[in-house]
Amino acid sequence: MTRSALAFLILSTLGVNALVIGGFTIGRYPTNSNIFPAIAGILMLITTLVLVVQNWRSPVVKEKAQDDAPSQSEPMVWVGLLAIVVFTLGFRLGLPIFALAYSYRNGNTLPRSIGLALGVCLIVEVVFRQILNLPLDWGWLIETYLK
Amino acid sequence: MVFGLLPGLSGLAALAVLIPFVYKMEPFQGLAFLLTCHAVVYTGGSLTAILLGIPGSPPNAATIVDGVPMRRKGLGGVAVGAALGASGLGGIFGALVLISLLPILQSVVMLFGPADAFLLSLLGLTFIAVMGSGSAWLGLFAGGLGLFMSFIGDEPISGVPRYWFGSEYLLDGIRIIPVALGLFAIPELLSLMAGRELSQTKGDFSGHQALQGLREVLKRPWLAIRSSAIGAAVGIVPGAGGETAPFVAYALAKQWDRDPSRYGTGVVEGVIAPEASNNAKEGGALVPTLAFGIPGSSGMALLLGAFLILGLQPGPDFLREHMDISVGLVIVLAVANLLAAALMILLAPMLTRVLSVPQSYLVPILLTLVVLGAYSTANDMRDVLALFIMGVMGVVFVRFGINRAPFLLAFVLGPSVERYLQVSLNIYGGEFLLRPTAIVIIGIAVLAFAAPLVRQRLQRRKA
Repeated sequence: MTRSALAFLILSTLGVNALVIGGFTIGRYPTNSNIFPAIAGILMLITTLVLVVQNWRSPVVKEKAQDDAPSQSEPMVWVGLLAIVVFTLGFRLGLPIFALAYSYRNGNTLPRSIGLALGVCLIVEVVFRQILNLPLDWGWLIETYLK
Repeated sequence: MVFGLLPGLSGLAALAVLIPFVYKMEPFQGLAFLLTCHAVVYTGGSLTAILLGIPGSPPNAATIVDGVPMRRKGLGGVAVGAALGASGLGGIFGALVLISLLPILQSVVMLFGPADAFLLSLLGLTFIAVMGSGSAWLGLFAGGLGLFMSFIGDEPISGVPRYWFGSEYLLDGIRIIPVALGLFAIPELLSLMAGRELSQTKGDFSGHQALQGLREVLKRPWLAIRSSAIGAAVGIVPGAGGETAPFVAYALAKQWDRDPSRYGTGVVEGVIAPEASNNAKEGGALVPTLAFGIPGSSGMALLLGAFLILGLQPGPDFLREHMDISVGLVIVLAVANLLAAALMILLAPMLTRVLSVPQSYLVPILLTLVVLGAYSTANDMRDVLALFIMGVMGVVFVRFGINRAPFLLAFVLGPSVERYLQVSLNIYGGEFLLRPTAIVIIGIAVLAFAAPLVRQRLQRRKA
């Protein structure tokens, strides 16, 4: 197990158990209401302790760059951008704009990218708006403008 | 099946969309139409789970554990064939269970109370360490975290709000669909965007492989029947959470296998078990709906609404007055599952061409479906936010080799365990553990755990 994996286990266990203790003390949750979260916290604590001891006996693996594994930093930026676009421009505008930008940036021609964006428009409008009758969100920016 | 193929859209969405179409239909015609749509959703979802690593609906997440590794080994077609074959068999088994129980439906359902729902949920929870591959301790850690997150929001009996940080959204608890999609779909899509997945999956599928997958199911009849029986049993108990049936079936298949370490690396048994139980549970879930008018799941609640729209009142009188409709529904359930599996096997070679679509086209479309799938749960943008947050968690889990399936299983079962334990203690006190059904369930749990250990010891002695 790598150092960062161990750090994640320890931090999340501490976080959950801090919340449970906070629930009993600051939140003043009745025992009945907080007993199950406490059991979950204890389970995490025990498993993390066992994993830490296991790794203490056999030293932690040093993290090394995996040459064969493609980097996920650019995809993560794209997903982050999708989140921003959806929350600011809504589904009807945000999703086709994202499709256009992603497709064009990944080597497709502009006409093909526009075609893909129109396809996404169709999916949003026909499947989700017309058939499923979803009240689609317009996004923060458009809604502010509409107001 | 189309609803199953679309990530995030479940049988519930299919029923909600199709209910308006039954207003002018004959009662049996309308019910058969809706039941068919609801029952075969998971058949479609298995294809998305195996080919794209995205669960069509939350129960399909159990299929991913071995389905995706099979696809990566170049056995995607075998996995799809096995999943469809097992789905068909499971669906027929569920229908058989229903028809055999029709004459004694009421007494069967009366056997199960909140105490049994608690014990069944607890039994499901005990499998978190067994799910997936790798360290059991990591599985338990993931389960603990999933369990804690499932307790966010109002406490089910007293209504005390917990860990809500002033957010109304958290007060209702985090919804299952954004969690399942975030954990499984986002990491898979990131992988696809990084260009890794497609190169490993291109050209894997052939019609011959699908037929081989079907043969693999027929070679393991007991696994399919046992998993179907688990699905039907979990489906019968109202509130036990039918969504857990595939996970329980998977965990038991792994525990009872001669070499459990193979699971999670891409074995066909890991696809057959969850898929068989997934479709079988629909037959089981119809039992309390028909016998008492108590919906076993949210999907069945909508179906119950359709019964009322069509002028029928499910319950004890329904079975006396409309036995013809009850038997008809059972036949429809069996035929629908069989037809859905056959149709999907015919369509699968065409549908799997999605694997050869360049990722620059595929990714925006899949992201659109995933984001809108999460939003459609309750038309709430906060579900989209939850999707992205759970996506980050999914990426962290994948990076550190933590199993995601135990997290999801614990997340689904946590609230049931909490609710039914408190209800059971209020009604029966601690004595509920001495009820006949409770003893049987505890016996099954002990047997499930002890049998593999005993067998291993016997094998060692023989060796």
